[in-house]
Amino acid sequence: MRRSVTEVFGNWKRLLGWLLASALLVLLFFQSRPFHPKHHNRIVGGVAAIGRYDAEMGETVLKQHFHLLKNFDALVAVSDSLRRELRGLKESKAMAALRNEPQVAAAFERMEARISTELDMLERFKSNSAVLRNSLLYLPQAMDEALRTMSPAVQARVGTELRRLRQDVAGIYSDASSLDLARLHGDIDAFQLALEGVPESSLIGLRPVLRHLQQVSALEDEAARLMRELTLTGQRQGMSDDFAAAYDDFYQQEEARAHRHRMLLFAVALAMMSYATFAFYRMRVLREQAQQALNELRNQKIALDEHAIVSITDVQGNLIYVNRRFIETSQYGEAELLGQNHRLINSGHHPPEFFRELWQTIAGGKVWRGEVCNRAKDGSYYWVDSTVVPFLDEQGKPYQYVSVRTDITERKRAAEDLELYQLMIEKSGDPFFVIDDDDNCRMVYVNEAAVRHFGAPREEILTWRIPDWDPNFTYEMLPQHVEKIRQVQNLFIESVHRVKDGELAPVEISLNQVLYKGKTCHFGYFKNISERKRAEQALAESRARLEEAQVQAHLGNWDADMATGKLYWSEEIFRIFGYDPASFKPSIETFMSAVHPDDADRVRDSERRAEQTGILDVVHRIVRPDGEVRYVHERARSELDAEGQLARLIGTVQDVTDLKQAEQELIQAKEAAEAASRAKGEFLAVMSHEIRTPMNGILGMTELALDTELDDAQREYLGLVKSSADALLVIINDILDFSKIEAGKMELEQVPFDLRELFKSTAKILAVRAAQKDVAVVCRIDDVVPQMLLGDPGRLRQVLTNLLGNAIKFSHRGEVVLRVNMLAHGGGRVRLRIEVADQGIGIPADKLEHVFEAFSQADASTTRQYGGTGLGLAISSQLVTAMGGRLGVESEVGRGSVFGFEAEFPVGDAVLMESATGKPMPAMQEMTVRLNVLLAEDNAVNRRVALALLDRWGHRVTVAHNGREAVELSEAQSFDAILMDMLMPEMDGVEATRQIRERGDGVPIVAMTANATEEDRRRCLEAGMDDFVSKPMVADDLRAVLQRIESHSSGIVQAVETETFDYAAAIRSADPDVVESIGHAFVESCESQLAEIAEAIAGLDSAVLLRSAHTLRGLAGYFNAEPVVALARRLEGIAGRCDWAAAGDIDVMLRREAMALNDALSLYLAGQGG
Amino acid sequence: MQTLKAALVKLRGYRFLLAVLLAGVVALVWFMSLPKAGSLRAIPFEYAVEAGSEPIAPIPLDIRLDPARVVLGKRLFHEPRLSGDDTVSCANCHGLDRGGADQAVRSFGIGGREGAINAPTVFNSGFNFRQFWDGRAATLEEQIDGPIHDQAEMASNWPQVLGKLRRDGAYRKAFEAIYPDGITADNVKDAIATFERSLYTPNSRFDRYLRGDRAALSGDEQAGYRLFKELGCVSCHQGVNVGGNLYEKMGVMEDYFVARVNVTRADLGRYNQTGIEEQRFEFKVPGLRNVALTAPYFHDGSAATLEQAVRLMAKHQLGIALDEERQRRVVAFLRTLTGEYQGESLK
Repeated sequence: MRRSVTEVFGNWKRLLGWLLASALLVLLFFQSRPFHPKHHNRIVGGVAAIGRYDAEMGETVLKQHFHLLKNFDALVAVSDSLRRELRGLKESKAMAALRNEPQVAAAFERMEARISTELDMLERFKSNSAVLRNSLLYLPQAMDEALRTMSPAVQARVGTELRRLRQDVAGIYSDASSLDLARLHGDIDAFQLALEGVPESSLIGLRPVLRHLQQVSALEDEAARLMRELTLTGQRQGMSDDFAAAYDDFYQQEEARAHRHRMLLFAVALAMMSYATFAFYRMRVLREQAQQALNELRNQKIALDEHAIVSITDVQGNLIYVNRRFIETSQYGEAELLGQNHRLINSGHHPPEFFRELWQTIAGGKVWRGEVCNRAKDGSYYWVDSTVVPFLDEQGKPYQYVSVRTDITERKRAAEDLELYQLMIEKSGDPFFVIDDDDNCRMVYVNEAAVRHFGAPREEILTWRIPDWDPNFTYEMLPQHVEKIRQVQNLFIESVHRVKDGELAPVEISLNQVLYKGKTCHFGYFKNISERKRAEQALAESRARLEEAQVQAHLGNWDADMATGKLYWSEEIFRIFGYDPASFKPSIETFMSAVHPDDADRVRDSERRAEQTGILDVVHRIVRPDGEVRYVHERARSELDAEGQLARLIGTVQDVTDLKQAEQELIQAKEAAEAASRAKGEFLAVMSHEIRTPMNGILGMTELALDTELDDAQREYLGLVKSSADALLVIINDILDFSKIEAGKMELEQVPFDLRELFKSTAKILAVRAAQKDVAVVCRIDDVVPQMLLGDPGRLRQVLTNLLGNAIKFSHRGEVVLRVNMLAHGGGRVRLRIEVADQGIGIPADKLEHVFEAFSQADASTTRQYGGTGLGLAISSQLVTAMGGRLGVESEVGRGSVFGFEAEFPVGDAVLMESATGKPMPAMQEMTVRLNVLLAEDNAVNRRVALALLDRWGHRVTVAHNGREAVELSEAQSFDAILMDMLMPEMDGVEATRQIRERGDGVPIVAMTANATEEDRRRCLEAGMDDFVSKPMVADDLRAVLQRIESHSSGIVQAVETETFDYAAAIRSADPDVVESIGHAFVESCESQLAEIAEAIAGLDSAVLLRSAHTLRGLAGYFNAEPVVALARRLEGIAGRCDWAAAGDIDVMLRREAMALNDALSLYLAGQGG
Repeated sequence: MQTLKAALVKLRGYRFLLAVLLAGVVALVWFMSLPKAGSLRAIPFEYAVEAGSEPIAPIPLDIRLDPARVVLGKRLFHEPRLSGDDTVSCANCHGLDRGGADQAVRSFGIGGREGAINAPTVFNSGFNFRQFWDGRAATLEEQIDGPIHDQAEMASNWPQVLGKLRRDGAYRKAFEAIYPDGITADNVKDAIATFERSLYTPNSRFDRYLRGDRAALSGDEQAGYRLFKELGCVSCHQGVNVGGNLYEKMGVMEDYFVARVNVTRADLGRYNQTGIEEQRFEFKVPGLRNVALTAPYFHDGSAATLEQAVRLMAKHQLGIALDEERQRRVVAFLRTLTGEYQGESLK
């Protein structure tokens, strides 16, 4: 209701205006009505009728008076009419309407009264005239009667008068107009006068006459008066004139008033109509405008809805409207949204303060803008740029919030992308830059990498122009350069940049013309190609080397596409196949035509095999264009296509014609070697017996001799003989054992033995040696370990002796502990942990893994210091392995080592126990050792002992009498060792050692000192000495020291050749791929390498020897060819020391071993190939 | 059709303007159509009096009246329920078969109450200029109020009367057929008055004589008429109703009431109405139509015969002592005034 009213009238004020105007209009309308025309007409008609009847009545009265009418009907009729008219008028509505007009009403009343009066008069007139007429009619008769009956006397007296009266009366009746009242009265008076004196009796006849005359006289006056009153003659006013005048006044006034109001009404109506028309027009215009605005609004809304996400919420934030895009974006249905709080799509991305600020803003009636992250129904997030507008009521309080949003998720993403791109460019490792072409090629952007590249502050770089960083350009060249850049959209050049510290760096620059900030710019990046240049150079060199290698090795590589038949050949192949690289086009077809016809099938077979195995390996012949037949070795890897068909072969080809020939020779050599090996085996078998037999003789005889009476020197000599023989026996045994073990010929006994007894006795023996070194040997055997076990006590003792010996050997103090713990027992077996721990020098971590290898000690210097064949641990390890255990070691340099192993033993039966010690010791045979020793000793006695011992041990001794001589001699001549007395005249040992070491000579120097204090030792070692022996000299000590030196010395000649090494097995144990790839090369180059070594030894060319021995060792290492490796290493050592004495011997051994390897390898490769 | 629709659609935008214009036009037409002149009221009882040389005019032979009202009026005229006790109708005192009166000196109303004055005839009462002896009712309609309320006559009142009539379905129907407002006092009066106006008695022998039928009257009668005129009777008894159109004093030439033993209020005549001394004893001059049938005569019914009445009239009004001969002739003439009602001579 309120809405509809305000819709029509705009507002209450306007409505009030309209109501007032309408009321005014109504008021004016009623005021503008004239006195009702009907009433007016009625009154006018009534007045007219009254006037008419008035006149008619007067006329009728006159007629009546003058006896022109025979009866009163006419009078009655007119008076009736008049009265009726008056009554009708009075009762009319018109008069009722005039009730409130006092003047008019008064006039009417006056008129009414007058009419009433006149009508009364009329009635009197009628009665009068009736009587009068009656009298006038009767008088003549009565007079005639009287005249006739009266006496003559009377007649005489009154006759005349009576007759005159009769005349008068008759005349009146016949013609009333002739009536002369005065005369009548005179005549009557005269008659009356005449009658006086007439006796009463005579008057009887005259009495009626008299009475009528009196009547006539009286009535005539009355009649005349009434007639005058009733007729319109004279000054008489019409009955209705007064009323008519009063009414007319009223009517005129009324009319005037009505007219005024009419005019006013007209004016107001006109005004209102004008206003209405205007309003209507304006309304139309406004409506059209509104319609237009609505249309526009609708369009805008459509546009808005299309573009934006729109929603309206109430003040609580509950949604009351959402548009289509809102629904689409939020993915909620409209029904799910309406009535829901806006929090529904809250992403939780923003902190509560964010929304608090929002609500404060809009609740305050202000517009809020911001970017909001919302969450759609599926949980995905979207960003909107939101504007929230509060709709305010009249009090300025928000009642609705309209929210218009734009989905800026893409923009956000794009911004992130842009940021990413910016970041990518800015942080890119490659230098990027932008040059402003229009600004004379000024640098307008550089990224961090470019800043780093130029090594100058960015601000400075951004002022540079091309010549500032590129010395290839000058300012004069700029315009030309710019022109060049402009012509090509992008440019790729190489140039030089001036980078940090003024260095020049080759760079590769890529330039693209772009529009940046409205200017023509060049966006680009460059690359410091110094590395690449170097790499390119390196590659070129490498390629040249490869080329060289291929040339040298007669090896070429090729690539065949089986589908197309295309074939790539490296240059060497052309040479191998005898074609000219410039003119010959290789293909599979041409290749096949070059294959020797007898081998073609084999080649094809190999290709088929390659299809299955993936590897092609074939040696075949080719026929060169000049007719020469060559052997080539093809090796390739195949690639299959999707159908499993051979698609490609990539491989090498090597000219093995020479090898093929060498192969034949090698086969012969191998057969010879095999024969030699068989002979060696027999030799060893013989040797084990043949050596031991004399060794036994030597030992037995020596012992026997020692039991005889001898002088001290003899006893000493014999003692030395014995110990040397013992040592020799040990070495021989070691070597034999090792050989046996290597050959797998080691067999362990299974006999009962007393473990405690065994261990204690072993420890006791060694404790003697330990005691010499101030080292205690402690044996700790777990009590729970059974007394009797089954096993090989000899081998176990051998291991223990080795471990204990080593421990003692490498300890200088503290104790050596032999520990046996039982780990487990059951089922007639025990598992024991056997350990030997010392507090000795320890083994460096990087050497630990090698200690169990044959001929290996932790350090070469160790051997020099402590001696030993290096076989002990290897043998022990093998023995433990044979016993089912594994020898392990833990060690720390300076703190000591723990060697130990775990092994299982069956528990032995005490009854079965036999003496394990009853076995005869194997005979020892001293091996030939010859060291070239320089003895620097000033004391003659000491010199004599040392010389005796050294002589006895077979060393060649040169004597120096003081330090200077020692220095001079050692400079002039190469020695295997120098025995240096500390205290000497002219130059002491320490000084001499220093000078020798200053010279760069690494010869082992052993100090000889009487006072073996720690201080002395330290000084010796500081001076560069390797070892020391204390005086008086102990033969064993000196020998041990020398043994250590021997083991590293080239001067040692091994008395016994290694048993034939199983190269085939070694090769099999090696990596087959490696063997494949380099086996051929080795086979090919072996001979030449050996020849080179021989030449180097002959020509004392240590550099060549070193290199070739090294190469050979490296190659042999790949085949696990240990003898070759060892020998080669020794040659390397010789080359390093330039000690050529043993070189020849070693060379012979090396050649033999290398050829054995070569044979095995060729066989192996042939087997693989065939 | 299509264009019409389009035009209508176009016009729809102009609705408001059109409404305003239409209102203006309507107002203009209303202003213009206001009546210019009022119509005068029609005279209900019209008759043409034949003008002649004689003071007496004949009754018109035919007067047009609404027959329905006449019929309804006749029923009401004979309706006793107009009286308080449903015993007295108009016709009780104005018997149409008794010369329109009751042939008694004074009439008797309900309960046998006696009236104060002689009942005048209802015949030709329409021609009287006033009703009642003292003329206190100007019209027949006014007159009816008198007997209705008079305690000596019908002793009723309009609510009572109307209540009775409204209970009668026949009356309701009859009234509704004629009057839009049905049974009202005015309508009852109208109907009765209309009926009374139909009680005119034309075609008397004298009227025939006046219309030229000289043979209609005998010699005596004609002589009587001449005497009537010569004696002066005609001074008052003239016109169509042979009187009934003026007041006159009873006893113009000789006091009438001196001889009377007691003078009642009714004898005072118009004085009762006006209080004017001159009008003491003034009465409406009664019409003489059918006078032969309306004895006894005078307001007080004191003249039992026509001859007596003529003689008294001559004495008191004309101052003449009328001899037998002239008296006989005048009476003879008066007897020719008996007319016809609905074609039949009154008896």
